[in-house]
Amino acid sequence: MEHLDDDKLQRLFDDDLTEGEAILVRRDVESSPLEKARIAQLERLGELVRLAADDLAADIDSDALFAEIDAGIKASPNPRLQVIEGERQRQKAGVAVAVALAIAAAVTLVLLLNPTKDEVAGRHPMDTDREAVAHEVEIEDPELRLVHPPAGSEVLDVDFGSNTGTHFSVLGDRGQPLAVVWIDEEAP
Amino acid sequence: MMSRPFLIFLVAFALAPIAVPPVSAQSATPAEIFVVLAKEAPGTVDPALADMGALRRPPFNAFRSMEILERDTIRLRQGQPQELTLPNGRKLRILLQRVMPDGRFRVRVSIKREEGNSYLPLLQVVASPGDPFFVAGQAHQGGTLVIGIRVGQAPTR
Repeated sequence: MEHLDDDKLQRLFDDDLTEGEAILVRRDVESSPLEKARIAQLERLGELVRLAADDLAADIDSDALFAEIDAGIKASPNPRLQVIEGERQRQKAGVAVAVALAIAAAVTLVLLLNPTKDEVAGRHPMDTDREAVAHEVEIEDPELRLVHPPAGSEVLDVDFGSNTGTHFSVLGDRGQPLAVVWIDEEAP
Repeated sequence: MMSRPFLIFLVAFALAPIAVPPVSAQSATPAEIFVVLAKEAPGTVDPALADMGALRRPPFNAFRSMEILERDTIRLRQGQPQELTLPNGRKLRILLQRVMPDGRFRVRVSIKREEGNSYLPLLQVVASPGDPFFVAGQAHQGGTLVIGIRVGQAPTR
């Protein structure tokens, strides 16, 4: 058997294959010790990357990092790099006031634009302020109507017995769904 | 003496059932069964499958060679099962259960192993005339069998 290409194997590992493709690739993996080993290798690699990322995240002390930057700026003053405490606090206060004003404006708008119950009750059903929408309905002669069965095929019931399997649809030439029943069978 | 338009109407009325034969319980419905050996190894795709666009779409597009092993046309009568022997010796049984009021066919399919036990005990499908359904997955000669079943004929659109 030919080796599975790396992309296909990686997509199987990432659970990125379609259902049918996954069945085929998994079958090939199951029947080949080499492919099994490659999958195991991918799993090991994934685990190593995850562990490394966890270690890295645990080692970073953000407070210490910022304190270090702050100390560095103080040690070698640079007019374009300085911590201005007062400005930061003023900015925070400004943001809070802006948010409060935005909320107040939103509440006022809602109260002004929503009509009260009395206003709604007093509105005449033939109110000319409202836009009238007319729908034109063409009534066809039922005697002349042609009935087309829904296109495609679909599974109503399936019993795989002692096998495993799945069913799904593929699109036909006219875009109609066509039923596919896939029975998972190990190569003899 | 009958008028000419009336005569034409009478003849047309008399011939109407002949012109459009209804699909009834008694009439036989043609069904096409094709068995394809599909392999992932590079190769050719039988040109006879050109009208089967579904076989070029996933997951079938994972196969790079397709060879038609069998192609049979049978006539199905409601309630009367038909049996075909597959290339792997298994028996495919197909039964037209009923013609639905909307013109679709309700079909029952099962596959038995050579030893007699069931491989696919039951598959019940409803299909529009001429629209196939597929049973795939049996391992055979280093490939996979894809069985396509098409009941009735697609209406001319």
